[in-house]
Amino acid sequence: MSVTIPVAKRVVVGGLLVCLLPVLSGCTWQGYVVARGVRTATGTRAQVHPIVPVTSTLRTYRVIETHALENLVPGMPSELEQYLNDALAQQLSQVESSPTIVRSDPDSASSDALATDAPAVPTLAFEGVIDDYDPGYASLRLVELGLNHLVVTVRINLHDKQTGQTVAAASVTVEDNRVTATSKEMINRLAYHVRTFVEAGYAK
Amino acid sequence: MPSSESRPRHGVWLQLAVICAVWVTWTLVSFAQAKPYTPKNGVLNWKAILLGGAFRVSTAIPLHGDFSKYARLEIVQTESLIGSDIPAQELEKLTLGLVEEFRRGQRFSEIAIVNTFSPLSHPQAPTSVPVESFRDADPIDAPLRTWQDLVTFDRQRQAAAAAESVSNDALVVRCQVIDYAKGNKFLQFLYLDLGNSVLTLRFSYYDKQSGEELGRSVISSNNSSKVVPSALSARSELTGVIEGLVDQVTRRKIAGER
Repeated sequence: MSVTIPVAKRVVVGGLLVCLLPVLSGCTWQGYVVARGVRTATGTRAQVHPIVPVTSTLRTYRVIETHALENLVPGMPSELEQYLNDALAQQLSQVESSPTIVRSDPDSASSDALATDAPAVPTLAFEGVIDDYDPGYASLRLVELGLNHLVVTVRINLHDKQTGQTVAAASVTVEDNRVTATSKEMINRLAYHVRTFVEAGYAK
Repeated sequence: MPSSESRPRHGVWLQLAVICAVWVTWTLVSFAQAKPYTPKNGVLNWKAILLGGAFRVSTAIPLHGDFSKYARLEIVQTESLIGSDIPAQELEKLTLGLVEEFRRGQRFSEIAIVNTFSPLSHPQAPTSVPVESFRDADPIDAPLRTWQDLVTFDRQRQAAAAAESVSNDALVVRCQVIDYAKGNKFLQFLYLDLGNSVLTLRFSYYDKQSGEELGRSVISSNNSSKVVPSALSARSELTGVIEGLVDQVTRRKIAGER
């Protein structure tokens, strides 16, 4: 005795099985290991939103004066904030055409002296704000549940110190879903992306 | 004999009728009562695991002040702090979604969309009150007021009482996009957390009259789900952010009402 299944029903069941296939494959430990491995390899996301794209070359600016980022997220620990500012300065010092980096942090007196000594040199002022920071939840990252990621977002602004004209601006976000994620590693990655954005201007 | 048989049957019908009446009354009463609000856990809940749209709230300035006095809510058109990377339609959809969700919650009698809001153009109420006001105390050695003054003060007092009874305080919510990723619907089918849509906004809450900032928070959401493919799910990153904001405001409003 044969049972005929309507075509529409077969299509629906087939579609459901296709949808469930990735879920079911995750039920076997081999499938889970592969999926988890892929998620670990691709667990970071960096997003650069150019607000004012670099249209002309930045090579004329031989000095970049970095200002400490304004922190709009009081929940961010001050040592991490300092680490972020340091990482940005360090990455900017690695820009290929080697502009001089001058830090105008209120703490460092020597950099202030440098800044006042060189007013005639075309200077690029680097300013910005920390828009978002969240340390996420390590335990949830371990079990891969919930909105658990680490995230940091900064908005940077590069302007001509003499004229005040904005030459470039961008918002950069880095997030990390991996169980091994750390705030410092994420900040390093963010600083790298900021450097890449600035370097594109020097490469023009 | 037949009459004695029909008596207990009558009793059964009567009992059933009473039970039905009690059940109907109880149902109507429970429906009539306002459903108590349950604060949402945005980071981890079943709805988000099944359908996506989880949200997180990071508090930049803790919400303060009495939100229960606000009968009117003004939502400023969502603005982008990331340039043109988010489509204007998406901003419009978010603003309309917020209005719809607040209307559904029925916590505000009036909800409006405003184009701009500048807190600097709404300074604090002037500290120097007019001299000729019923609120000013006369010096002890001042001469007696005239009848006309007393009548004027009475009118002022009545007008102030009427103004207090009709609350026209408005809460203004400003929304700024600080991160957005459109995502990739094909990659979302792979269940590898690839190609998720992400939306992060900074919300600032203001008292319209005084211009005081009552709080600031960052709310973020994505459409990652564990069961229903994100591309087919009814919930999205937009749903998550909207739910997160409405939850924040509603919590504060209910706390004020208590």
